[in-house]
Amino acid sequence: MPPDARSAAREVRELRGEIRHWRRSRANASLGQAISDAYIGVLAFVMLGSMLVNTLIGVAGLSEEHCTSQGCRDARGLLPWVVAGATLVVLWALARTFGPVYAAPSVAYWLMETPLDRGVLLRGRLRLLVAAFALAAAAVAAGAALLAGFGAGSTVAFALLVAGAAASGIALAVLGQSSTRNPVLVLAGLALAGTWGSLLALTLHRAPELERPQSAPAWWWLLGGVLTALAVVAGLAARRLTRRLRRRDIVRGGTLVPGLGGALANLDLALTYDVLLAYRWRSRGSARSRRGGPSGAAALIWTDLIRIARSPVWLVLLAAAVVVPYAAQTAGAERVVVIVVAGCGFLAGLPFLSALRVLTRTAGVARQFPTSLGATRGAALAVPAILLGCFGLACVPAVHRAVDVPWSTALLLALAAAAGGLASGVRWVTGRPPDYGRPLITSPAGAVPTNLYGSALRGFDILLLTTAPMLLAPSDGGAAGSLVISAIVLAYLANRK
Amino acid sequence: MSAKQAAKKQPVLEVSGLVKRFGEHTVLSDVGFEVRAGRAAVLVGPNGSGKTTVLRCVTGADPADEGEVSIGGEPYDDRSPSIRSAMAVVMDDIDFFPDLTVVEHLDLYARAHRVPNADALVDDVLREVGLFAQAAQLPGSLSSGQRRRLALAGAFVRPRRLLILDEPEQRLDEEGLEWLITRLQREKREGLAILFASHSPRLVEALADDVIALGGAS
Repeated sequence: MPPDARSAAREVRELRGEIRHWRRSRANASLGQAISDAYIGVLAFVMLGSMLVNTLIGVAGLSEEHCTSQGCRDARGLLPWVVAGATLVVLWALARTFGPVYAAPSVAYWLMETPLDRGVLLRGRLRLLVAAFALAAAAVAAGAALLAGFGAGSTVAFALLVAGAAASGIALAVLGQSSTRNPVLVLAGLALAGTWGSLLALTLHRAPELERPQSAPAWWWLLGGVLTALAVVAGLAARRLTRRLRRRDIVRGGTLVPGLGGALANLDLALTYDVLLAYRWRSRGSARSRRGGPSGAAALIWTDLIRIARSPVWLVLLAAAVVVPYAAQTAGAERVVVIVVAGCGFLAGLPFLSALRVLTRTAGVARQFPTSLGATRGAALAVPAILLGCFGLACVPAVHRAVDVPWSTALLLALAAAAGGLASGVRWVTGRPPDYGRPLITSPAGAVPTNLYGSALRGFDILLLTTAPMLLAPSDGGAAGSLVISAIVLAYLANRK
Repeated sequence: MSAKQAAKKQPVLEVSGLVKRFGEHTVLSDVGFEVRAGRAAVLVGPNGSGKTTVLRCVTGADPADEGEVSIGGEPYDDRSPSIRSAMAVVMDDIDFFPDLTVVEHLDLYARAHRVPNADALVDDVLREVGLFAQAAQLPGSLSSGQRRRLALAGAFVRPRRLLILDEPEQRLDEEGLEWLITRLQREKREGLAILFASHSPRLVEALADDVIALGGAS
């Protein structure tokens, strides 16, 4: 190491030492308490981990027994690959959103201003990031492989393969961090297309029956090794690059950290949505304005159409989500398909509820309209309701085949499931933040309001409530009951102050 | 007396016996006032004296524990379309659709109120508030002062008989404050009733016909 670099590394070490000293001098727990907390943490991790693995093996055993149809066998073979593809899409998209190398604003404006070697400061973060993403990908891949019935050896090889892919993608993302066209976005697009294509092939009965090996084929190890080597090489190149990263490249994603940290600490997922949405549009800065349009409440509906024209990708994703209920039906899911329809409608419908979210989170915008709060929010619901209605219609054949009911009943069930998805989405975006004015309960994390934990389940509660009548009785009556529940939920949430 | 003069005699906003408590703490105790057309009333007082609370009770954002509020002789009801059309409000809780541009926001508000010649009015207001060059920008990319101007512009592209503003001078530069004073004076001349809270002596001096002192303010 040249003397300059050695001196820079020493300076950073000293600075880190200062920070550590500052933190430790303000510690309010004794060493004994820290050891006890760590012991409980490790024990909980091991216990929960082994319970999860046991459950997965148990479910895999049950599947082995009951999954006898060709569609189900195809689906089981595809499962690890689809889960791995989806995991990589999420991880790579997250990585690109944050940077992947980022520094919170406080760090960026304080440390990055100094003449210290930026690379020395950021390399540790890069290592941590690559390791965390690889570990997360490996854990999810191993779970899916166990569920599919892979043997121990092939599970390990498969996890290594996916972890290698995740790590090399992250390293490539760092290499392209300064450019607007990051290669990881192409990789994420390819993984998404592959995942979607696999589901489509399954639906069309064109999916190959993939083997679920007990011991991994040699090419898995080979490919895993190549990907790991690629991750190491790209990681080393990325490590060298960290010194040259501009502050704006590091700060861009870092600005998300305080907002997302606060929102997640409160389990306020709707606030997380606000932070990400604001970040996305602030990054864009401007747009081609569209003037004109209808008057009255229809003006609000018109702006939803402007939104769709501005971000057609969400419409494409909603349309692409139609394949999921069909894949579930092919895999042998029967009445559960209505939950799949509602769940896909809920998740893929959320981007269309951004206007409702703004009209709910503060009174500032809703006050600008001459119509009552309920009517204003109702107008903001019109386009999402039509889109989810179309989504429901597109799912009718899947419901018809899965539940084996007449077409008219299948139509009602699919529309009721889509309405349940809409009601769940509305519940999710109109959720209130945790209220610290309420009575608090004690928890290991300190005093928390009673509605804190429930906020993580928000939306899913309505999903279960609205689909329950159809699960109990997949008939016209069940669908009607579900529609009534959805209508009550929507009316209540639209009018709630 | 002409019909216009008679209308001016009628209070646009009447508040009587307003009481607001937060737990044991009484913030407002028997507050009452009225604002007539063509006049401006200002709420003054130190921080925590209840200025924003009065405005929140008047606009229905917070329910008052006691007291009555009526707009144009009609008891306040935030579901009433006539009251919602009559009352333009700019409070502290400024918010925007993150994915609509500056001009699309104003266009939306004007069209929601069925304002005739909405395009021309929106362009005029945009020029007046100094946001014409930022018409295609998204709110997230505006400075805090520009966001305040956009919020104020939203109140001027819609029909109104009563304008309620909470510390409208906040974040405005000198030029912005000058514009605001001129604009509000014009609004008063055109018969609008204005209720605002302010810490700006200049704004109070230039606009206020009636001063409502809270929390022991003189």
